[in-house]
Amino acid sequence: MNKMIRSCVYDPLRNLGDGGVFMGQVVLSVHPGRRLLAAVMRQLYFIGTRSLVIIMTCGFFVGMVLALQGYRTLSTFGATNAVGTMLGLALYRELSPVLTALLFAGRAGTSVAAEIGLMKATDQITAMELMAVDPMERVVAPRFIAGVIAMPLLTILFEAMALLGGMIFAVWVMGVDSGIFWGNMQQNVDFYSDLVIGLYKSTIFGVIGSLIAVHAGFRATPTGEGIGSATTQTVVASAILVLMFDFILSSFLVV
Amino acid sequence: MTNSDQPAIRIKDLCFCRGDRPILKDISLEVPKGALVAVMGPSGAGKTTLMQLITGELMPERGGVEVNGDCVSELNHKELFAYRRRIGVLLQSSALFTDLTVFENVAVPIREHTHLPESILRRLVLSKLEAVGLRGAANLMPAELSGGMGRRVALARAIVLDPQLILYDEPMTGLDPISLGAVMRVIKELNQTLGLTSVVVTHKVEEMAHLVDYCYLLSDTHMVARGTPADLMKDPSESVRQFMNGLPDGPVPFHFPAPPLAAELLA
Amino acid sequence: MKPIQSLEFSAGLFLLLGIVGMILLATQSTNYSSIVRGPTYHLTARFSNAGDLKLRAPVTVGGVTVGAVDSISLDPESFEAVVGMRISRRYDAITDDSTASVLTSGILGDQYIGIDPGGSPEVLKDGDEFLVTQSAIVLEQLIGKYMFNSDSSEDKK
Repeated sequence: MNKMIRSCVYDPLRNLGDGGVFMGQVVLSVHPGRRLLAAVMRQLYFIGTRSLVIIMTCGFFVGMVLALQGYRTLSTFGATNAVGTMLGLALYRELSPVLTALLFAGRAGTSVAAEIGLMKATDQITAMELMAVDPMERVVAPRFIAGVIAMPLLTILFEAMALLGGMIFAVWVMGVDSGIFWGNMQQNVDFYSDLVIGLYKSTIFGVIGSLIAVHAGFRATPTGEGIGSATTQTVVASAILVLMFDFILSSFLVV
Repeated sequence: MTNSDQPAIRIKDLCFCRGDRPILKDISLEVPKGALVAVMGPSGAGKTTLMQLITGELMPERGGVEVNGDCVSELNHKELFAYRRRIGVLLQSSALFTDLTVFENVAVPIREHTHLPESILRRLVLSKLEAVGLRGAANLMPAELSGGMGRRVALARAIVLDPQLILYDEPMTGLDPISLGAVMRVIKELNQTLGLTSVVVTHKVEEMAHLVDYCYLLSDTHMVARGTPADLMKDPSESVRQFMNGLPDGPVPFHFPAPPLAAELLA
Repeated sequence: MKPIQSLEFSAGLFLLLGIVGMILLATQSTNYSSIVRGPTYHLTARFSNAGDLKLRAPVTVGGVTVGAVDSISLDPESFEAVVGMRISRRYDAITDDSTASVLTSGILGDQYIGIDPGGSPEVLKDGDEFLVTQSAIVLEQLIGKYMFNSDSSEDKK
């Protein structure tokens, strides 16, 4: 009984607190400068550019399936012209931020966690500290910042590909008129309460996902098993926290 | 009392425990400037712990470590970082940064702590690589190096900012005889040509005997012997004899503590 | 040095792609273009029933969006709904006898304010109020009226 309380309540809370402290340390260690910028740009490539393939491919298929299912349902109301609106509203506010965050955790989050964990296991972090190099500033902060920047951008690209996929299905396959498709969407999708809110959400998810990844990697036990467990932890914790915050943000961001 | 009289390292009555278990008790030693000394002992004797106490990674329970006049345990965070810039450490696993080339690895301390222009940085890095004999490998990645070469690169990185003191954690472990000879040669040369105070933590008795001027032997939390390698060879005490001659049984027992054999087999 | 340069180049391209994507999505798939920008002036209108009017609902003249609703409040003494709106300064020739009505877009769509221009030589200026307004049509009242009318017309027969 005690063990269960420990693992379900005490440990997660401790982890959460440690994560908060860790984030504070990361933020405080940042000294703006050319070196940090170069490191962030470098990580942006590994975290962002390398995730493009999975994000854009999945986005494309999500858009197609949304259009497919949506068309079927809308046709029972004779409202197939609203496919564009349905795509825009569903994607911008909920699907893109959440799906991108989950895909990001799986691809970029695990890679960052494993990388940092491995650096810890091979004493590279210790070597840095002994050389009076702050590992927070040199290793953790660039990856964290790059993750926060990459997430909204990846979300946009996910949405763009999803709209493309949806359009290809609705217009080319099902024959919805292209003008009506776009016109209906433009009328009913609000710039602020749909697109911008979605990006705001995805930035928050970026902070959450990146923090979880660097934290799990930095705190991994320096064994092969420890690194594996850190990557699993990254995906699980990211999924839970992203969906939790999705609900929290949606409930008070209703405009 | 001029500065050159002050020993490079002075440790007095050092005690360190991990939880309840004492690791080091009442350790005292003095390393003069420019000396090349070894700290030896069986596994688990506390050699690496001693090194970590010198670098400031660990805090002692009692006693102090003084390096060139600075008491290490009393340094605050900023001072500790400044202190670490003045010492070089070679870890057992070399700990090269796997995503940088050999050249970039050695250049890290320079890039971090100075604003030297690229041309001077290049000359500095190449001259240190030359000192360890690896100038030609400057563009290789750490994954392409053998164990001994990797260790020499890590050594070049440790000395690139001309530290006052250098600590080697088991530099000779896990190397073939040729690489071993190369590493030993570099350690000796650095000590002699640069007057670099060097502390080698090791358990290779024979190699140590040819390398160092003075030696400390740790066993079972205490310093059981100190002296030149020749002194230690002649020391009659049991723990020293067991270590120096590689006897499997003695003060450090062969059998891990266990209940009597008859009792366990017939239970 | 070369590998590092191409990494940064790719990262920069990724950033550019994201920003261009953002601009494209914003302009092509949302109502961004119909959001009122530039200098505006403020007008008010009083309605006995503001209906389903929401903040940022469009204000149109002849079907063209000229502004947006920026406040809806209740006058505590007259119990009228006071609706404030921002109109783009490009359209500063709204006559002071124009009618402001709460209309519904489509049959069951969102409500907006439609302005029917009058013929007066004077125009509304910043801070002015519409003299003529038409409140939102409440569906129940409409149905009630229709039923009442059809009842009375049957009675007459």
